[in-house]
Amino acid sequence: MNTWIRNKIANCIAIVSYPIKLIPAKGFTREISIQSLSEIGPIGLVRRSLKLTKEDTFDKFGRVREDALISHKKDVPGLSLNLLGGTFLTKHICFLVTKDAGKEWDGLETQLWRKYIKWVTYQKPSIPIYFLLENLHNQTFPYHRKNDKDVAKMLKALNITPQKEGDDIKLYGASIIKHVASRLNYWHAEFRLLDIEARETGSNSKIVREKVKSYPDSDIADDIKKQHWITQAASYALHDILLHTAFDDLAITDYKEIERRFFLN
Amino acid sequence: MEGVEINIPNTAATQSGVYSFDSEDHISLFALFVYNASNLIKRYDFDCFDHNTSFLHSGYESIFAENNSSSFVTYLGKKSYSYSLVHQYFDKMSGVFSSIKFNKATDKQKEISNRIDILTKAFDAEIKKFGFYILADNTIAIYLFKKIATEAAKINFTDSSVELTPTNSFKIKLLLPDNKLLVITKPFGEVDDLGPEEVIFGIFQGKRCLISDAKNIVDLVKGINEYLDSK
Repeated sequence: MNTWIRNKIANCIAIVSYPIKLIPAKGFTREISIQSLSEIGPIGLVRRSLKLTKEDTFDKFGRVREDALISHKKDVPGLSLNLLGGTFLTKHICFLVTKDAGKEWDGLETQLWRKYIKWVTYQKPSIPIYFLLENLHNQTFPYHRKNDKDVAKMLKALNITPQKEGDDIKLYGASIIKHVASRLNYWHAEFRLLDIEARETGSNSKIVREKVKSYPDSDIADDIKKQHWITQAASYALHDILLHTAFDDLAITDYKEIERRFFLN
Repeated sequence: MEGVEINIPNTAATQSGVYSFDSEDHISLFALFVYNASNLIKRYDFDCFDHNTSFLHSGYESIFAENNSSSFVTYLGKKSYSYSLVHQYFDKMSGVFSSIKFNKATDKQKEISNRIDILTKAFDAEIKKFGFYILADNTIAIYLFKKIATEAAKINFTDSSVELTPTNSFKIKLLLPDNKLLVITKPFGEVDDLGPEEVIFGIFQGKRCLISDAKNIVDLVKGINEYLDSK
């Protein structure tokens, strides 16, 4: 079937069946405090596999395959997830919220379905990959930086004595889950990576999608080469945190319900 | 089997001397190296050949010297050789290999050989399905996998799987007898901060990561085997 026709059909299915209860509503807080949520017990998260079968998503040990989770290393910081336990159910991963519909909700905008439903499409089969918040939130990962003047200055200011490994120093970043409601999916969240400076001072992290290189490139400018540690940090977070904490199944009894007090003003 | 020593004559492409191989796998690896080298050279049709460089000798050292910092892959990438000379030498080596008589392999060697077969079959299945993930030259990728798999097979694993990743690397996952999972990751291309003989590894118990680091593959296998023997 022609791709254009297929996309149109998928969009039509989404228009008639998109669950209204996922859309941010009047009275919803703009952002759920994940820290508060993490204190009530296990919280479930789900993400749609990039593969269409369970066999291609998990290996024989039940571990998620890397290609089912990401296409490039740059996908690691900001990886999209959905909070379970509210109104988002596993079956809702069939809806792909894209373009303007996937942008962050400002907490005020209304009439969202009418404005953005055209950017939603439908994909079946969709294979779920589950996580528990406690395995992703506030987890540390190592990375190495050259011990140059800038780094020494930063560490002195932060009063940190780093671990030395040859000419490099070993630092620890942290992963956090941030609730980022999108215009058509209130339960959207992101896996974010904080460098040591962001952890200590709350400044913006440098470990962001735009700065991660998926492959070594000998032609890139020296100042970008100096930022190699960012790619390395994303790689460690992928291997040490994401890949081994994914579940192929999560029963509804394995995670807590998100009470209304967490998301209602 | 006992170690095998092959007396290789002095040619334009080699230094004369006795090359010792301590297993059939090593000889296979060396043969694979020569075969891959000739294919690579054929493909690029290199016509300059440095007569002062002992091609096979360097390849031999790169493959078998545990602490050699320069990798065979880097070596091949930077040098160019006459296809005909290497091919001639490959023919000669084939003759040498066919004349070698091996002693009967011990049970342990058979087990290692079986495990290499298991890993290689899993890798071949991945190549068929996800071979497009590999950005490196296929010959070099296969060589690199074989090299790591040959070492990994020395671990007495109870189950295994192989995975190609979209980030141009491969993973060998080994279930150890105590139910811990060892995951070895090796990029096909060069990566800053990771030596040519180094791999990234992680040991997992359920969803818990017990340790993760980068280590020379030979040292890693040695360490894992020592740990398993101590149990």
